Amino acid sequence: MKKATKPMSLRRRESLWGYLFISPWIIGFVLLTIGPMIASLVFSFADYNIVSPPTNFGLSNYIKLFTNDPDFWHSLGITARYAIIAIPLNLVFGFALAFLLNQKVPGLAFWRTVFYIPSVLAGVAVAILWGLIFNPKFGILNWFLGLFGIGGPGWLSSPDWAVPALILMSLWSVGGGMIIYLSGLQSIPTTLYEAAQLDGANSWQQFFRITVPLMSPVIFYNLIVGIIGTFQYFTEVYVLTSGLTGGVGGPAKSTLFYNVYLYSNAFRYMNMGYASALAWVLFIIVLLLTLLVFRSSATWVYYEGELHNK
Amino acid sequence: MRPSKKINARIVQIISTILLSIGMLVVLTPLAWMVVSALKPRDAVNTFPPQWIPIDQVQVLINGQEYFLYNIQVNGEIRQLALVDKQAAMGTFVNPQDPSESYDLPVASGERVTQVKLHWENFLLAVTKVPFGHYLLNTLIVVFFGTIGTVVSCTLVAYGFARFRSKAMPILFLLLLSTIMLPPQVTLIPTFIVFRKIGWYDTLLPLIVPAFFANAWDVFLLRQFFMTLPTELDDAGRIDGCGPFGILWHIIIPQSYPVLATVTIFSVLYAWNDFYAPLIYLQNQDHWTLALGLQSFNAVYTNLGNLLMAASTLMVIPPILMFFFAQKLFIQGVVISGIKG
Amino acid sequence: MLRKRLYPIFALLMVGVLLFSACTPKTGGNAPVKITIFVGFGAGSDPDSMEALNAIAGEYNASHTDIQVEFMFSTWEEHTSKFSTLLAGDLAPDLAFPIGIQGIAEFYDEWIDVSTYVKRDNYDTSDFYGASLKLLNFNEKTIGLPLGVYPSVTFINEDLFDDANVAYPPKQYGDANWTLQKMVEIGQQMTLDENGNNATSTNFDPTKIAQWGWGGWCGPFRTVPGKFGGNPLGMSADFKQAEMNTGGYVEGMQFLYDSIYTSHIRPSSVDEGSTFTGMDFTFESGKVAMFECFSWASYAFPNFTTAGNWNVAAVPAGPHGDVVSPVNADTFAIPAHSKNPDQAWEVAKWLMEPEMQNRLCGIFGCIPSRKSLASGWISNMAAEYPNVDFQVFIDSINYMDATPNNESWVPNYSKVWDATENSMSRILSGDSNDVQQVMNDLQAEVQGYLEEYWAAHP
Repeated sequence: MKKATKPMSLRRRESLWGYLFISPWIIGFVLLTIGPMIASLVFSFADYNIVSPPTNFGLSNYIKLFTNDPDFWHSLGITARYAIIAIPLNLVFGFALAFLLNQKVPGLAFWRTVFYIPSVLAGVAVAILWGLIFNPKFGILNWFLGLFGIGGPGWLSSPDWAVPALILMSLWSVGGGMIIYLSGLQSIPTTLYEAAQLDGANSWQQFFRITVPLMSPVIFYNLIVGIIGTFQYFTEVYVLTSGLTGGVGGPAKSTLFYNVYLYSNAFRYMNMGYASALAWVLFIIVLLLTLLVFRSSATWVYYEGELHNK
Repeated sequence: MRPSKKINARIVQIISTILLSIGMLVVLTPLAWMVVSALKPRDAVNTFPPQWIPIDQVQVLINGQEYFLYNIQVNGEIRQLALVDKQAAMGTFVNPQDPSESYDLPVASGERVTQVKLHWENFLLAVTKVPFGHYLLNTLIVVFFGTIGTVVSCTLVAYGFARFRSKAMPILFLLLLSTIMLPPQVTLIPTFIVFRKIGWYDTLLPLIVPAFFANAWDVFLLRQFFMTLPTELDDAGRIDGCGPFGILWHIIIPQSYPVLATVTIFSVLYAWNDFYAPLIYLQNQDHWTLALGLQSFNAVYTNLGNLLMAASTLMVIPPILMFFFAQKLFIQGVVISGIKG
Repeated sequence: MLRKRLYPIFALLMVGVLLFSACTPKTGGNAPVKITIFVGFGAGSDPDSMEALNAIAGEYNASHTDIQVEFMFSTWEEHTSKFSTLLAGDLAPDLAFPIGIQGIAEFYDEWIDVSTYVKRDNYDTSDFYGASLKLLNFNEKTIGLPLGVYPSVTFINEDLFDDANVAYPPKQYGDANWTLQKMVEIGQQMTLDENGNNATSTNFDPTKIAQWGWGGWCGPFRTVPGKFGGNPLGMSADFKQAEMNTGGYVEGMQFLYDSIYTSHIRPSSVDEGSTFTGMDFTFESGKVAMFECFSWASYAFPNFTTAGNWNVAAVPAGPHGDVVSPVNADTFAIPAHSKNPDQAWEVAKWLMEPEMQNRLCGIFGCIPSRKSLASGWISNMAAEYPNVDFQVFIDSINYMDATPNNESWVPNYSKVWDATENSMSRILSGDSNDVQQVMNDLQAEVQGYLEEYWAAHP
C-alpha cells in the first residue's frame, strides 16, 4: 500500500465497517423485503385478484385513483385530518407524561407501569373496553363532561364524532411514546442540570436550554414514526367497525381511513392491483413528508455525537 | 432561598400526584372493566345498564330441569318461588322445596332473584378450553428468539448508521425507513409466497427469522440515541486500543441501557401480541400462539365474552410484570450516563 | 472487497435455507390423500366448535384409510386474507366448510360445479327442503348441498308485552292481521320514555327513550326490500342496471327511517351505541320488545333468557302482502384450486349424511336442511328452552327468500355490499334524513360498480 492512498483507505475502511454493521439489515432487505416491494409495484400497474395471475398491465389503476374514485380522496382526507391532530397531541402528551414521571414523585415505578398498561393491551379486548368508555349514556367520558355541564356526543356511533373519539383513544396508549421519551430523559447527564443551576438558570431555562435540545433527536424520532404509523392507521378501526353486518369504516364511512380502504380493496374487493396503487401513492406521500421533516431537522435537531464530514 | 425551594418542590410533587391520579383513573377504568367482565357469568356479560358487579340470576333444579327463582307476592307475603311454566301472561310458580305446592300468578308481578357471584372458574375455563400449554410454549419461543434477534441485529445496524460515514449511508438509511412506509397489506402475498417456497409455512420460522434482519422502527430509535452520545468517548476508546466492536461493546452499549431496555420491551410486546402473522403463517393448532388462540374466544356466532376477558386479563399480566421489573434498568441508566457524561 | 465479505454470509444463509427446505416432508406414492377443510367463512372458529370438529376429523380418519381429513381455522374477520394467501401460495384447501351464500359470492369464480358429482352418484336430494337446494344454484352452477338453513323469525320479550298488556303476535303464518303496520302499532305501546309514557302518548319525550318496541332487522339491508315487494338483488336480472332508488329499496329504507324518527319504536344506531354496549343484539338488554333475526342468533339465546321470558312469532307481512323470512344457509364448497376435488366430494358427502348433519348443525346452530331431521331439531332445542315454540322456525322455512337470496351474488359483490350497508348506516345514524337522496346516491354508486364490472368482463 502506498502512503499517498492512506487517507482514502481510512475512509474506505470506515465505510466498510459501516456496511458490515448494517449487513444484517441489507441481507434481510435483499432476501425478504425488496422482492415483495417490487412485486407490489408491479401489481399496482395491473389487474390482480390474488387468485389468478396479474393481467392488463397499464396505468389504469392510477388513472382511476386520481380521476374517478371519491373514496380515495375521502379516505385520504380523513387520514390527513386525523394525522394533523393526533400526531402533535401524542407528541405533547407523551412528552408531558414522561417529564412528569421523571420527577421525584413517590411510587415512580408504580406510576410508570400504570401509564404503560394501555400499550400492553391489544386486539379485540381494547375495542370492547373502549365501547364502554365512549358509551354516551354510561361511559365515564361523558360522565366526566357532565360534571362541567357538557352534554357529551355519541362518540363512536356518531358519524361526526367517531374520528375525534379515535384521536382520544390514541392518547390512551401514549405510554409507548412515554417510554421512549423517558429513556431519553434518563440519558441526559444530571451534571448538565447541576452546572446550569450553578449558573443560576431557573427551571424554565433548564427545560428549554437543556431538556428540549437534548431530547430533540427523540422528538424527531417520534415525529417521523408518528407520520409513518399514523398514515397507515388501521387495526383499531378495523377491529371496531368490522362486524357481521354494516360496513367497515362506519358509521356512514366516517372512519374510512386510507389503509382501511386499502385493505378492503386488497382482501374484500379482491383488487390487489388497485390496493397496491393506493399503497404506492401513500408511500410517495409519506416519503415526501419524511424528507421534509428530515430537511428541517438540521435546524432543530441536536446530536451530540453527530459525525461531520471532514 | 432554600426553604422556599423545598416548598416549591413539594407543591410540584402534589400537583404531579393529583394529575397522575386523574390519569390513572382514565387508564385503569377499562382494565378494571376487563377484570370485572372476566368474573361474570356467560349469559350476563353485557347487561342494561352495564354492571360493575357480577350478578347471577338464581336458578333452582326441579326434576332435573333448571328454573328461575322469582320474588313474588302470594297471599300478601313475598315468597321465593320457581317459575316452571308460562301461558301468556300467567305463570305457574312452585315452591322449590315442595314442587307440588303451586300457584298461578301473573309473571309481571314478580322479579327474578339475583345474587352477587364471582365466577373465578372462568380463568380456568379460558386456559382449558384451548390447548393453552402449546400456545404458551410457542409464544415463548417466538418472544425469546424474536427479541434476541431484534435487539442484537438492530443494535448492530443502528451502530453502523450512527457511527460510520460513507456516501451511501444516508441513502441506505432512507431506504431502511422507506421499508416501513409501504403498507404491509400489499407485500403480504409475495412475502407469503417466499416463505412458502422455502418450506416455512406452518412453522414458527416466519415469525422469528425476520427479527434477525433488523427493523426500521428499532434501528431508527437506537440510531437516534447513539447519535446523542459524544464521539469523544469513542476516540478515547480507540486510543485504548478498542476496535469498532470494542467501542460498541464497551462504550456505546453501557451508555444505552435505557433505550436498549425500551427496544427489548417493545419487541417482547410485539411478539407477544402479534396475531396477524401467526394467523397467516400457521395452520396446525399445535403451532398456534396465544394471541392467535385468544381470537377464537371472539369468533363470530359465539358467546364467550367472559372467557375472552379472562384470557385477555391473563395475557396482559406477564408484560405488565416484565415492565414493572424493567424499571430498574431505567433508573440504572441515569447513574451510568451520569458518571460517563 | 465488500462483495468478498458478503459472499460467506450469503453462502451461509443459502445453506440454511436449503437445510430448512430439505426438511419439508415428501409425499409418498400410496399415502392417503389429505383433505384440508377451511373453516372461517362463518361459524366454527370458536374453541368449542374447533374441538368438536377436530373430534369429527379424528373419527373420519380412524374409519378411512384412503383419505385423511384435517380442519384448519381462520377468524371470520380475516378469512378473505387467509384464504387468498393460501390460494396464492399454492396451498389451496380442498373444502371450504361451513360456508354461506356470502362466502360463496366473495370468491364466486373459485368454486367448482358439483352437479356432475350429484348426477354421477345419483345423490338423493328428495329429503332436502326444495328452496334450500335452489339457494346454492347460481346462474346454472351448483356450488354445494345445503347443510342447514337459518330462517328469520320475530323474537318477542313476553315480559314487556305483559307489562304493557299487549297480546303476543301470532305464531302461525297466515294471519292477515299480522303486518308491519300492526307491528308499529303495538311497538309504540311498548316504547317508553324515562317517565313511563309510551310512544302513543302526547307527553312522550322521544329524546329520552328508555325502552323500545322494536329492535329492527338484524340482517344486512338487502334482507329488507323483499318485505316491500322489492327484489333483494337491487338490480335487473342481467346484473346490468341498478334498481335501488325505487320500489322496495326506497320503501324499506323509508320504513327504517320512520321507525326511528317518526314512530320512535326502533333505536337509532347512535342510541344503540349509547345504550347497548358490547351486545350483539339490542334484544339482549331486556329493553326491546320485538326484533327479527336469523336462527343463528341461537348462540345468544342464553342472553335472551337472562333478559326475560322470550318466545318467537311469525314474520309480519309487508304493506303489499309479502311475507318474507330472510334466510342464510351453510354448505360446503370445493375450490377450483383443490388438487383432490374427487376426494373432497367424498368427504363432503360424508359430512352431509343425516347423522353427521345433525351433529354439525348442533355445532354451528343451523336447522338441518333435511325435512326428516326437523322434529329432532325441535326437541333438542325445546329441551334447553322449554317455553319457546321452535316449530315457528321450521314453518318460516316456507317463507324464505331463496331465489334471489339476500346474499346472492351480484357483480363487484363486496363493493355493492359496502355501498348498501353504508346507505343504511347513513339513515340509522342520522347522518342523513333524506331517504330518496340516500337511495339516489346508492343507485349511482352501484351503477358505477356494475359498469366497472362489465367493462372488465365483456
